[in-house]
Amino acid sequence: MMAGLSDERIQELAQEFPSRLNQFDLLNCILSNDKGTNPTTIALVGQSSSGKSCVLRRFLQEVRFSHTWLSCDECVSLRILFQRILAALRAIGTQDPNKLDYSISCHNFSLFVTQLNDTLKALAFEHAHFVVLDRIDELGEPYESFYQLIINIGNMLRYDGLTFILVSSGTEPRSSVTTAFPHIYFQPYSKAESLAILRMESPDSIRSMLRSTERELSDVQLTSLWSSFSQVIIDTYFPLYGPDIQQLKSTVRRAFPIYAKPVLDGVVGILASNRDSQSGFVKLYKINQPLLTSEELVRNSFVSYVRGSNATESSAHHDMTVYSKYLLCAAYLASYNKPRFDIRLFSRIRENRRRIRNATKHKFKDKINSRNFAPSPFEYERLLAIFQCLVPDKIDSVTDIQTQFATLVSLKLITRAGIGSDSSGASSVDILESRTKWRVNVSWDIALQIARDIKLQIENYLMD
Amino acid sequence: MPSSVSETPTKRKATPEVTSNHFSSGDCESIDNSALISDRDAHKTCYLLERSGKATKKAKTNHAFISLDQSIPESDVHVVDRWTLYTNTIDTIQTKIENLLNDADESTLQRVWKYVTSTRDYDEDAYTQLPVGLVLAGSNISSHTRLFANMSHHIEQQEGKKFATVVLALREASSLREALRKIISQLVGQRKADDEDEITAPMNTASQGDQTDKRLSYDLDLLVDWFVKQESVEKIVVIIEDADGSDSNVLTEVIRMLFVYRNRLPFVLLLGIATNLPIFNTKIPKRTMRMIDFQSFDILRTDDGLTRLVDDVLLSSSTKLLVGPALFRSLLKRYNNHTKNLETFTWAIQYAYMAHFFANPLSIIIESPKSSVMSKDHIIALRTVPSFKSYINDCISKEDCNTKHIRGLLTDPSSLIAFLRSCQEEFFEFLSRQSDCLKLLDVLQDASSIYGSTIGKRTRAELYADAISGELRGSSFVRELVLFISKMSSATVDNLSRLIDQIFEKNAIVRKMKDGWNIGTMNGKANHLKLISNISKSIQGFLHANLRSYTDIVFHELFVFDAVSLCENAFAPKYRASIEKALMEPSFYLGHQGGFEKPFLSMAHALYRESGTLINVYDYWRALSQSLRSSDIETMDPGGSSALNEYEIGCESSPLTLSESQTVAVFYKVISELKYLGFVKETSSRRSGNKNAVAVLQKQVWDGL
Repeated sequence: MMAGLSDERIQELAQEFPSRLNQFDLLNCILSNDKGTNPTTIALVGQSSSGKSCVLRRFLQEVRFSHTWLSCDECVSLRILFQRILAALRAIGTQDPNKLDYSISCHNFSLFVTQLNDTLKALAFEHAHFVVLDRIDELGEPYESFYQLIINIGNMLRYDGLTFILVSSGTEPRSSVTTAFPHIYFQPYSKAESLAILRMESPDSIRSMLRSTERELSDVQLTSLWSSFSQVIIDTYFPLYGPDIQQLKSTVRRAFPIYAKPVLDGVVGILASNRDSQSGFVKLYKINQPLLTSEELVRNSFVSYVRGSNATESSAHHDMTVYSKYLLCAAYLASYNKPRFDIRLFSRIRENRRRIRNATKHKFKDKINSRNFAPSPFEYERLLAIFQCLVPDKIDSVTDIQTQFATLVSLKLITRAGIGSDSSGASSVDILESRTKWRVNVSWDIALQIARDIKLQIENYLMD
Repeated sequence: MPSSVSETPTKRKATPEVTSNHFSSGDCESIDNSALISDRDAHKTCYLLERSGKATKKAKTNHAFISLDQSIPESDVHVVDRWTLYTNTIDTIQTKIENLLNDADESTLQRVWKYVTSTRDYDEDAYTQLPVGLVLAGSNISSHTRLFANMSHHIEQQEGKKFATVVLALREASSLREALRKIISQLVGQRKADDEDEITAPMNTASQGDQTDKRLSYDLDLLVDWFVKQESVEKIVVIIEDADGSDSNVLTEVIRMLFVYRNRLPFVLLLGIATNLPIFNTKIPKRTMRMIDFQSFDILRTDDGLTRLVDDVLLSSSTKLLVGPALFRSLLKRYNNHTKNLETFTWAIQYAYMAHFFANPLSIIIESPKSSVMSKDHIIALRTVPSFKSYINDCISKEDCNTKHIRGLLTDPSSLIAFLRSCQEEFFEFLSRQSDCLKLLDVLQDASSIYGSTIGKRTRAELYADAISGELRGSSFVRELVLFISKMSSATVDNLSRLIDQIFEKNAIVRKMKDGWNIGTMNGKANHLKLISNISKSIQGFLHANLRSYTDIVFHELFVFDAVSLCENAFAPKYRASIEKALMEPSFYLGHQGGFEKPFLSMAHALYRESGTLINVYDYWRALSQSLRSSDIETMDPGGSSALNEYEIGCESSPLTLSESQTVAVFYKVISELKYLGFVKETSSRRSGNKNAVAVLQKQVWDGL
């Protein structure tokens, strides 16, 4: 029988994947088509987007081992994963392997093992079969016990021939660290390797990124443009993303049409020959400098991106109502001020006696900024009282205030304290109690921003 | 807490039912008492409570108005007249308002639709992101359900492309599984009815049909199977209507799942955001942010909506009843401070119309005053209208008073009606001039703000109340604008004239004024100065002549509705006052006319009012049992006992035989109810100076809360 790949073939494969020769070699050593020599489990570990899945996929494709590929991140629960594993195995050998048989449902580990044994018995493998559990760390449920089960599954299976390949980018569960089974480690790519990977894009896929076909560029031109672009992207974003190829590639896909537009429009000369390319590149770079220096492509916040467009003025229209903002500020103050300071902060009654005592008492406590603490619960009536102090004009106690408070609660800007599961401690609160306790759920930044909107000097009302 | 139950304390019982007819559906439904607290209703702004028990005898007629015999003897014809007038006016208004609301939505829906179509077609490229539209829908969450249902409908109904949509409320889905189950069941279930043969995928494990498929109901592979079989569906649009009001963990999980499946299922996610982007930003982790490619949409430009409301509804050519300045100011204040909701604003206007036709017998004159319609009593009533009286007084005090005219008005009905008709004509004229003035002020502001004037723009809605009450005439605001005109450059003149041409295309009066300027005939600097002084004079004259107060019109009481407190009480009741009134005068709400037993709570409250800040519990109990006994003796009539049993469910005793233990039970109940209402609080007795522990209740009195 075929005994893996030759060294030459591995060298060729490694050409496609920069600095992954070692991993190919290891895979070739560990896995074989002979069902007797394979370990029951092996693990491929390494940071996310370090080429684990694609190396494995390429390898399995090359050696043509029979295998089943399952993406664990698609499975919301273990039950789905169990079901898919079994369904995929049962489909082997039937007329239409793509038509999966979902007639089994599997609730727990022991049932899974039993049913797996039954399936293996029916299949009676002649050669090894591999089940790849890709992204096992992104399973919808805690996966530690499942991981443990898969590692030890060899002891529970009565029929051999099955090998699990675990692909994980997270750290290994603590409970499994001491169990010895083969690991293949994928080290993160360096900057040069990342650049090489970006440059490997085929001309066709580059062309599809551009979408417009008005001005055709030859393959040579495209490749030249692409390689200079890759260099720029790596120089700009490698410090930010590191070797996260996924991120880099998705950024590249957003940026390239804009970057290449001057070339397509004919503003910048075609970069055909090496002699021209240098000056053309400089010109192109200068045109695109705003794109590369702005944060528009980073997009890790909704706000900064939107500011770039013209949405700033329109956001005012969708703000909360004026009194909602006051209520929210009042809630913040109620959460972050102690009730005993209320008289000092919100009334004009003088309070000389206490100040001296407090100054000596809280020498050490004041070291931690109280804004970093969790908000403390406050009573609804206290909120209303503070609200009355903040609002400049006299307001009646109309139901609108309560409605707005209810709206803030359903927007989760204020949360109920001490009810149900979301409370931190034990909930000993009587639901029929007329006094209810609440907590503010916005950060200082947001509170400050809202206070600025209504021209309220919120700092003046805080004790720290 | 969230359910602000407000019953309208109107003097006539029929009014709440009338309201229910004319609130637009969706936000406001009449519901049972028991269903009040359910989650579905938590975001309604208005609740109607059906009276249980014996309904007051229903009018046999098919309208809800009643005869206003106390003020004017009315025949049934008049009542029906008022009713038809009311329904007609309200119908025209309602169609206008609906158009307005729909138009406001339309443009955004169109943009969202464009975004959905423009998103990348699904392909095998592993580096695409999940397209997400952030729909900024405003903080008024009660209208969101309607809005997103509309959006889903709009997206599905578009011609050319076929999209499947799902509207999901995450507050109803507590976990990822539940959310996915809802998405899948809505899609797979929804198509099942259309073409049954094609779809065999069962919705869940228990469903009939293919027994061999035991996949779980939240397995997105089901959706993949379904999608493969759908040939025409191009995209699956998932709308989450409460993205920021929900548990953010579930939201990020849902986003992750859709992201994972993005290459097999062409998802487009639309998130409804009630707050603003900075706040929403804090709820989404950066890791999730990397999965998505987003664009934001503003749904409703509510302030533009208000301006359109003033143009189309309040000051349109078909307006017959004007919303008065004080009422409008109060509505505007409520809008800005409390609701930011155009719908509630329009409801209030509808309510004002209803109150006018319901309570004012003279409202029948709004439809061209005819003598045939009016009875003698109407004529007499017309002469008692204050503005008419002062008009007569003014006429008499004039030196050259037209005695014949006055005598005619006071004695001859037909001449009075003719006069009334002329007054109405004057009123219509007044309306259209006001509308012109407001638009002109708008144009002037536009022209001036382009050139860097420091005056912040005031919208028509803001100016409306000042304009119709005549306060704008000669105000500093108008003076500044006129001052601007007298300083403007020739380019501004051109701009102004272009704007006026554009807006007053069909308005003969304003055009006539503008033609008087003779733009274009004069050149040169001296001529320019002459021109702008000409323009400023003519505009000043125009504004001065037309920015009149509505009180100048005789019979304005019939054309203008300005009852502020009525509307405020209906829409924003003061709860403390309402609760106290209910406790002090239970008959007001219970609908019994005197001679019946008060509820126990009400008795306890009466004692509570008489006591000091600290109430000894024993004393309280003694006093209550005393008053219970005394009221037993008073009410010996059988009607009283039935009233008691009806409203004191759970207390089976008849008032005659209230034993000691029953009294104690009543007392406990009453105290806990008072506690729940926030009137009293249990407190330790030591504070009051006593050394022995005595059970004491503390009054929780706080003025204005």
